[in-house]
Amino acid sequence: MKLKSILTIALLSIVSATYAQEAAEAPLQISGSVDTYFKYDFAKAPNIKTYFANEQNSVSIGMIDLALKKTTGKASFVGELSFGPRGQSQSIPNGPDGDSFHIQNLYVNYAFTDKFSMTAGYMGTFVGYEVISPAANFNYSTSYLFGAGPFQNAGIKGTYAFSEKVSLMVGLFNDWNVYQDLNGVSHVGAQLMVAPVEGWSAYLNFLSGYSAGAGGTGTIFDLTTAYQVTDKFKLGLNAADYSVTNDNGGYSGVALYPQYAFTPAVSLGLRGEYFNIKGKGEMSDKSITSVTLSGNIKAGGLTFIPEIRLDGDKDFSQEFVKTSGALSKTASQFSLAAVYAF
Amino acid sequence: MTILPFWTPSFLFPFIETSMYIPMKKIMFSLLLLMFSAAGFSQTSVLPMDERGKYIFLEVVELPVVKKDVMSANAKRFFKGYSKSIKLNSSEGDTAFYGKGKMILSKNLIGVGHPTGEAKYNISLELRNGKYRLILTDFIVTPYERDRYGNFVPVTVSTALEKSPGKLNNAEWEKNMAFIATESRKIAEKLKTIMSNTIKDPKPEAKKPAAVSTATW
Repeated sequence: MKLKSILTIALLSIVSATYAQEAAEAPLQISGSVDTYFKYDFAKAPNIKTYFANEQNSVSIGMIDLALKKTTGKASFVGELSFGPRGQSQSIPNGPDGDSFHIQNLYVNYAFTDKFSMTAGYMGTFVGYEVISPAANFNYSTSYLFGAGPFQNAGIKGTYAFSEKVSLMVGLFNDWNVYQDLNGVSHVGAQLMVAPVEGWSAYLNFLSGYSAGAGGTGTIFDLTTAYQVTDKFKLGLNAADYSVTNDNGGYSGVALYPQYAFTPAVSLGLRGEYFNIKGKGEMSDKSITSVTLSGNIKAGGLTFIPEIRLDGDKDFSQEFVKTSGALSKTASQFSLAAVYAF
Repeated sequence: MTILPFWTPSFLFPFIETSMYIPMKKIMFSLLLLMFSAAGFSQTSVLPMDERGKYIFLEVVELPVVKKDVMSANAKRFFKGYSKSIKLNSSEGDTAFYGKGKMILSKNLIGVGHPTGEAKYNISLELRNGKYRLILTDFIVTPYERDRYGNFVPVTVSTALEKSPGKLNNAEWEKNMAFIATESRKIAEKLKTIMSNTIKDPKPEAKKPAAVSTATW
């Protein structure tokens, strides 16, 4: 009986010790999300080709996303894995054997001082307003600007915070969206962050380089900004211009994101976008407009996103079709997504 | 004789001496006991409200053996040395100290979790003969969201702890409240330790333990 008592006390002590250690050391952070959706295009065809809500009249899956972060002293790492259509073929490249590495983020960071840190590895892009993770976007379907820009940038970067209101990042990067750069580290990028007043942040992004197999040097300028005007009203803006030298095309566009929170749990947001595809050589430009109205209904970690979207394509670059199969200048769809973040 | 850990089910090793086994019933009882002790850590608690309708953590501690000037020096040491999360903003003589603090709200279980938000608050420490009063109040909660790099960063909207979370988000609010109550108690405990010091200028604790001599024994 004595032995049993000692063992029981020992076990309880181990549990207590675990709680005590927790206080002393930063815990391993585990977070992530899962998402699923239903999308219905009113012409009964998968007309709108922007990312993620792609599959017509189907209850489909997005991805399960798992991120690990650990900080020890001034050093930290982030590893983010994703599984599912959104987290594999739709957002990251495959390895040389054709299999997915499942890696969205894999980087290490060292904070030399409170103001200066360096990061190296494979990172979500610093360019643009919308991101791959459904938990960090207001709308479930994505903008044309998101789809045209980079998804990830592998490289090495240094960030210096002049103050809480101004910081500058400068880095050397691989080609867009690749784990390995076949023509060497070929891109230079920078990000200037300013936060002039409380609730307003603006990121001016620049990325330029010669990608393997490209016809010229591609350069993107991107402005991403958001202002929390009142507790209930937020306004976001993304504007970008991308050009490839030697008349090799590119794109430009602007998207506005007004959002209104009726309660902490219920909000409504609009995305209005104008997107222009620059013609290569003698080809003319082609433009697209898009209006997306989304709701966000939150209950704990779960967010329901009902969404209506109407796109206009006067130049037929997207090849929208009517129910009859004839070409159309417009396309519209409804989707309902459920995203759980933890 | 081979002795197995007491939690090893006996059917796994029927050929080994069984006198040390504990029946499954007792194992289940031990597990239940552990679950209850874990639940004890996570039980919710709510701070009381003051006359303004603001949640408040208030503690008055009697320290009759600590002299007034020592108590004042202790209070200054607390604000100077607690951490970057509490900053002294103003003081009235040597008897009242006012500052601002921030606590990081988090979900943690056995060393695994992530930050979920932050709560900023006002802190005041008032001294009288033989006692002091600590007040933490005006809690403003800012949830965190995960950014594109996998880091948790504050969202742009902050809300007073008093604001109704609504039915859909009540569970999150209860967790935040319990966390804030627990953290407030930890701050109060740390303050009590510092304020209980009876020497005006205590020597700082040695950072390195004294070297152990291996020459003589």
